[in-house]
Amino acid sequence: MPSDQQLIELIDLTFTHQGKSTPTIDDVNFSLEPGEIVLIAGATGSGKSTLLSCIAGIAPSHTGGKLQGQILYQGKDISEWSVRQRSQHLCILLQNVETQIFTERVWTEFVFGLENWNIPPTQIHQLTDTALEEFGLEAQRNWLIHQLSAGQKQRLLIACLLAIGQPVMLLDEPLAYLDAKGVKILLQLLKTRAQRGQSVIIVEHRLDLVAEICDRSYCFQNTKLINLHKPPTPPCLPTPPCPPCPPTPLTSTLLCTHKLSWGGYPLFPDLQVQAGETILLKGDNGCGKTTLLKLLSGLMKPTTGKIEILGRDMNKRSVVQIAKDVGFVLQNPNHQLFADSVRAEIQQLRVSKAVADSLLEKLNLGDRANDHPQALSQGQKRRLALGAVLARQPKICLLDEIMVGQDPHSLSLMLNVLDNFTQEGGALIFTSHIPLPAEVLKIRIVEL
Amino acid sequence: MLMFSPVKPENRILTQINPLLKIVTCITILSVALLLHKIEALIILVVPLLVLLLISVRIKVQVFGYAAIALLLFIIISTWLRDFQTSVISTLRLLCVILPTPLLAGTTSPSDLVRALQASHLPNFIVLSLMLIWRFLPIIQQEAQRIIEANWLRGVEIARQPKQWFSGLFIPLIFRIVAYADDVTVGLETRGYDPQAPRSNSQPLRWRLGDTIFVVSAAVLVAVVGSLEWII
Repeated sequence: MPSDQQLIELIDLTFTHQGKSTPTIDDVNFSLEPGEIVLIAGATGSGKSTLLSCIAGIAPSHTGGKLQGQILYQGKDISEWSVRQRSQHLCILLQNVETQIFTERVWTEFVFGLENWNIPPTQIHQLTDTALEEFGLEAQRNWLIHQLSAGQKQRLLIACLLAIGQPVMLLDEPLAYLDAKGVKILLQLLKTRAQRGQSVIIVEHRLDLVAEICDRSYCFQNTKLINLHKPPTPPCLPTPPCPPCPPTPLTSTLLCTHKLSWGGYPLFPDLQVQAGETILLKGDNGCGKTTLLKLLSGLMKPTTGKIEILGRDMNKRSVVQIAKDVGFVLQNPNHQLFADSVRAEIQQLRVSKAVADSLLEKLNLGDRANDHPQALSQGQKRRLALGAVLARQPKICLLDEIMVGQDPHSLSLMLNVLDNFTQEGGALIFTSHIPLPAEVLKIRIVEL
Repeated sequence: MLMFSPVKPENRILTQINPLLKIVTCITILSVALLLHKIEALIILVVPLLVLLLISVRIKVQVFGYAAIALLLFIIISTWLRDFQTSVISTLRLLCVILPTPLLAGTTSPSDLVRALQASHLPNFIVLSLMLIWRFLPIIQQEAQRIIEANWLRGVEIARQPKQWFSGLFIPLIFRIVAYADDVTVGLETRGYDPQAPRSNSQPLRWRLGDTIFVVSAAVLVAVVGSLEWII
């Protein structure tokens, strides 16, 4: 929708994080018009989220650091506006949805946001019903939020944020945990909103999905925001840096499950996993993928059924005993990082420095080896958590949505490391909504 | 996994009671307990609290086990320091002080608490602080559980390795707490919360029959306890 007035204008915007001497984003000039959808791409940690934080006012007021340049909203300088003031006009979806959810039930989460904006009670019920219907969350209306999967939480939060209809939406990886249905709903909704005059700045790694709806595309390269003029092409995955080892013959059965069930989920499909195999658990948000991984790791005990690992019954074994053979990289890497440096995280008991350094290089974390794990970006933390698990040389590795937040290069490195793991006789069982070419890891898909 | 969580909505007993009423009742029970000296009066006060806890809040058997061991130790130590009767009285008093907390936390949702505090016209910054604390406590409990699970996944049985508590539990937990405090402030602002700004209330609290029954029952309980202590 053409308009003379720019909604957002960034003039010579530079931001330097606290304690850093070089800027994270440098001399950014950018404008956003009503009805536009703009994609911002770039490598992990390149400054995409920082740019959104600057526009939303989170940086520097909450993060510290130094901001130079101007941020204009409808021609007005908003540098002095608080996050809350800005959020009246620009809603922001943060990467970690958990930090934007405050109540205990799905429908009360909608109500919470609407009450904050002092929306009259008569409208609140109507807006809540519309949003629940629009985002396919009617069935979960009275659910406790901790019962939702990561994808459902993301869908809920996006619905909450869009319910008020601010002119600008800043979305940081909104597709990260969404299944195909959720992605389709959201992209269609963004298109509709854009046609009505709302504008979107979207930070995403799933370029193939966003490219079809965006009007303009930018990419962060070496702190600069580069106009791509045409939509970016989806990444090619992976490019093995070394010739692949001969595949391990699929002979020994590592894991076997029989009629597993838990809670209200339907019976899980029986799994038989051989050495060197890669299994992708596929299914809609909330179908029980994470639950199945937790059952396999021993974190949850099945209501019915049996799990055998290396021929031994696991139902009566503790998580610690199972962990000798099974590694699990969790969805949220923050819980899995304990050491005071990135290198120490990998170089655990019985892991040599050479092995640790080699893994760090393979995961593109070599230059961060001496940093604190908590100083890494979410994508880097996921790679580190993977490295820490693989360093212990488990027979089976369970990965829960760890490909989220990885740029094509990092994803390619991650897949290479995983490929090596399976070539050496390990088995992978993972969940991911990011489409991977089936030939990359010789993936066998199991539908849930 | 939470150590205690509300039972299914259809089984709620205390969840529908006005949170302010529950807070006032808890404070009253606590004050009365500190004045009591007779064991039978204290037992009459503790039993309903225990029953309510069992039927309103789902608590892991393991937690009950730990609590029982702690109480037993308390009785042994206080008997050793004073005498058995004083020890029993102190234990019952302690129960009166402790039990209302999980009862209140397990039967009051953050949104109900905010509505109740709003209705009481408390300053907004107090409402915000209490809301954050209310949401903060179960989250920290959840975070601690996730960190313990992450230790198990690394093959570390943290409960049996006190040497690992600092690096394996406390440090990551402190990181999560600090990060949470920062993130939640940002998150609240992005969701439009402002302690100074007017806020609508789509579900104002109303006095219900359940509230009347609750007040009458609490008054009867205090009267019975009072008569046992001071009249009979």
